[in-house]
Amino acid sequence: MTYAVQTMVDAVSVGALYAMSALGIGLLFGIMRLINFAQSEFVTVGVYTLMLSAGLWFPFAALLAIVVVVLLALAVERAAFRPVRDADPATLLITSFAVSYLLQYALVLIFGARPIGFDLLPQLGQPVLIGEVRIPRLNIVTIVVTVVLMAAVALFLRRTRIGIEMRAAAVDFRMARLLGVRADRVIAVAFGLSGLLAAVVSVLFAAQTGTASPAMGLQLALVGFVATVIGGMGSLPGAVLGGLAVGAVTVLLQAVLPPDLRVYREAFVYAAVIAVLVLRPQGLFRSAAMRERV
Amino acid sequence: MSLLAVEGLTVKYGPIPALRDVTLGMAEGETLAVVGANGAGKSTLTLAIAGAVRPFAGRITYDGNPLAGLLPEEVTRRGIALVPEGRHIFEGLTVEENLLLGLTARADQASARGALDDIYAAFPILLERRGGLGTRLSGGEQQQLAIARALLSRPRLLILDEPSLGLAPIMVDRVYAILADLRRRGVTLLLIEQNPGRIGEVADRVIVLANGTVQLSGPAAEVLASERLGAAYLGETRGAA
Amino acid sequence: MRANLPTLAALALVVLLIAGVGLAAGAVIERVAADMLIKLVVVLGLSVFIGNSGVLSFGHASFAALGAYSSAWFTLPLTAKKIFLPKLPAFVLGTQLGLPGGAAAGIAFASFFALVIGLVVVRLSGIAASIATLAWLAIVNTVLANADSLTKGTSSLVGLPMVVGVKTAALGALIALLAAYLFRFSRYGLMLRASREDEAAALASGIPVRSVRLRAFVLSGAIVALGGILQGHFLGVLSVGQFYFEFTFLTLAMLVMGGMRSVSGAVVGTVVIGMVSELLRIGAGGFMIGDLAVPSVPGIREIGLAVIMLGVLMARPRGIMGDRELRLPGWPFNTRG
Repeated sequence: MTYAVQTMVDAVSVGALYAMSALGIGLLFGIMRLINFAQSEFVTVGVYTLMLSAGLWFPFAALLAIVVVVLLALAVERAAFRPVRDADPATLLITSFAVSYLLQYALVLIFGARPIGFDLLPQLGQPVLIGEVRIPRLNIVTIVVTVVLMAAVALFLRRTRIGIEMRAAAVDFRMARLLGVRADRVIAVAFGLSGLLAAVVSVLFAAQTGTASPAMGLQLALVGFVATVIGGMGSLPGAVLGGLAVGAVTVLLQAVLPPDLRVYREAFVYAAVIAVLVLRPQGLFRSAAMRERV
Repeated sequence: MSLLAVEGLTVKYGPIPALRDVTLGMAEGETLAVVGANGAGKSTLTLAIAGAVRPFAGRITYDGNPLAGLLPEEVTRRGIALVPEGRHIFEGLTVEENLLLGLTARADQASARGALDDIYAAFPILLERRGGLGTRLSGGEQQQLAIARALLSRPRLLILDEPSLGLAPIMVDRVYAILADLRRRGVTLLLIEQNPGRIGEVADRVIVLANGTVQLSGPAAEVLASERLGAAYLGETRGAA
Repeated sequence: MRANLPTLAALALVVLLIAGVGLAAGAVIERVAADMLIKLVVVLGLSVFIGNSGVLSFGHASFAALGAYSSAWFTLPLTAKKIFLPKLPAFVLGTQLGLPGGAAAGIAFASFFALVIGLVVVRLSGIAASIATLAWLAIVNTVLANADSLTKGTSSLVGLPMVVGVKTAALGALIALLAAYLFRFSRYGLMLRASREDEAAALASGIPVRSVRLRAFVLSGAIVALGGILQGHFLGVLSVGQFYFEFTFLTLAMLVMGGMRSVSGAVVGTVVIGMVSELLRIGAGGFMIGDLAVPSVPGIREIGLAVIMLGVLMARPRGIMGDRELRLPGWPFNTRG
């Protein structure tokens, strides 16, 4: 029983991290049809910023990471993606690959390829005892932060004009522009927001792993792409639910699989993803009536 | 003075021309109907004017200024609103959110709230359904939403692409009543229809498009009564009625 | 097809030229040339599916990995095999083949998997198909990295006979070029390109889009597998990480930067990026100025490569070649068709 509860909490906290990654990726994907591999480096750069500011007052370090990553996301949009915005998806994709490669090796150049260990908020590692159940503080923090941030993003997307413009752009960018929605502004805000999400992910991720290494964001980005697509393309709630689902399935597989198959856990997760793509091409969380628009 | 002038417009998708050397003009307050069969190039014409597809050749002038090179959002902000074929109500957005997007292009945001109230007065069904999802409305209601949304930008030129497509006859009546009202209020209308059946009620002039070129044009009564109308639809004639 | 013979001739000449320079210019350049020709095999393989269908695949590195490992199961010397991979099936442990036999086995093995996953991929449209190939790559990578008895897992598999030099690589490139060319201008290639431009219209005019896509997917998987096999027997070492994202990124970048809509694009992209990357490697590799040693700086080469790629994509979003093909001027069949 306690084991089951611990596993559930684990599943939700991993899912929460994935959900935030997926939302950042889903925003850009919905609006620009961009599979942004550089999202991975947004997270990684956040972790390195935290590593550098280790020892500073934590809220300040976290704020610094957010500022750095948001500025990075805006700069990348301006310098790399704006010039090729109207090109076909292959070109956009290779652009994002190239940006990701550039940032990753810039980190290698500055910090070297070896992982660097650091301790972000060591007190988060201690578990909380709730009855019989021991739950790591970090899991609770992850879940709380995710819930708060998601609520804030949801409010932003529902209550503000630019938020409504972004939701419209994510489902039908051309129509949004025909109504006067400015492409430049919406895309810049989307990059900024996805930078913000990546930065928050980087704080939680850094607390979890305690290391900084140049390619550490890749796994999160991959999950983000997958979650966006299985959640239903262009649907932001779908991306979030998709992220939660992938995270939960990953943790549950870890618990359920026999030990010698556990190392193949990711393979099972991705096989499930392919099954979803084939069986529910409109996405897990959408009715069949809302198939991909032409 | 003409509000909109299209001269020698050619649009290509890849190597295939969708419009060839199309020329037309619209005076302020006028209602022009463009009719033609499926694939005649009607939608391409609307998208080119709205800045959503790039012309291969030719020029489009609006209110004395060329529109070349403007982004769709800039064209809309200058006072041209397009209600595209298929209505394009945003999935996952409420009726009111769809309408709020219509306010994006307005120059003065101060009058926005009043404008929304006016629209609700004119389209009571939208007021009733304001909190529900736009995509849950019936076809005719969605068409009203699309038109209302476009009107909120307070356009000088409103382009409607097949507003009666797929609607029940009673809803077509409602849509045409709205169009007639807009016309009375002096809005310049460019109306695209596949079926010329109802356009006589609102159009001042009519252009018949086939294979991407203008086949026939003239005052509505003359074109619609012309014995060459059928041939023009098939692209077998050229000239004035 | 005849009308395009000048293109085939021009591209074959490029391959021979690279090989010739490699042979003439000494050992270092020879390795560079061989590496470039092997990459060319992979990029041509990618172009068969991606270029003709317009559907992006992230998964083809898996076929290079599957081909390379399964060919190594047969080409490894018997004694090495018993030490490194003792749990292989007995008939594999007892067999040693040369490169042609090993390559045939590797291509067959990889093509089988290309067929299996291809059946899934061709049922999906556009972006979903691409994400499915991405998931497939992650699956293959996870399995290979953990199947110690087949691959030595995360450590490298060493001892492959290093029988591939610039000549073999050039032969491989010519085979890949011929296959890509024949497919592109075949009935299937034409149908596939029609579906790239307008899938609905292609379906409406009776083109069996799925089955044509599947053919292209398997053929392109087989060619990429050949590239992986050549690479394994060129380096003599295999590791699972060799065929993951960096491989995918570099080969896709070569295809897109050259221009994915033409066979020449694949060749031009490979040659240009291959040369730029090599020049950067030399520049960043550490050198001496008089008595002053300038040490190598890790990361500089990759950063330079990324910056150049971004520049090219901004200047030519459809790739260096766009839709055009290289042609040999003055060729007797030079009748544009």
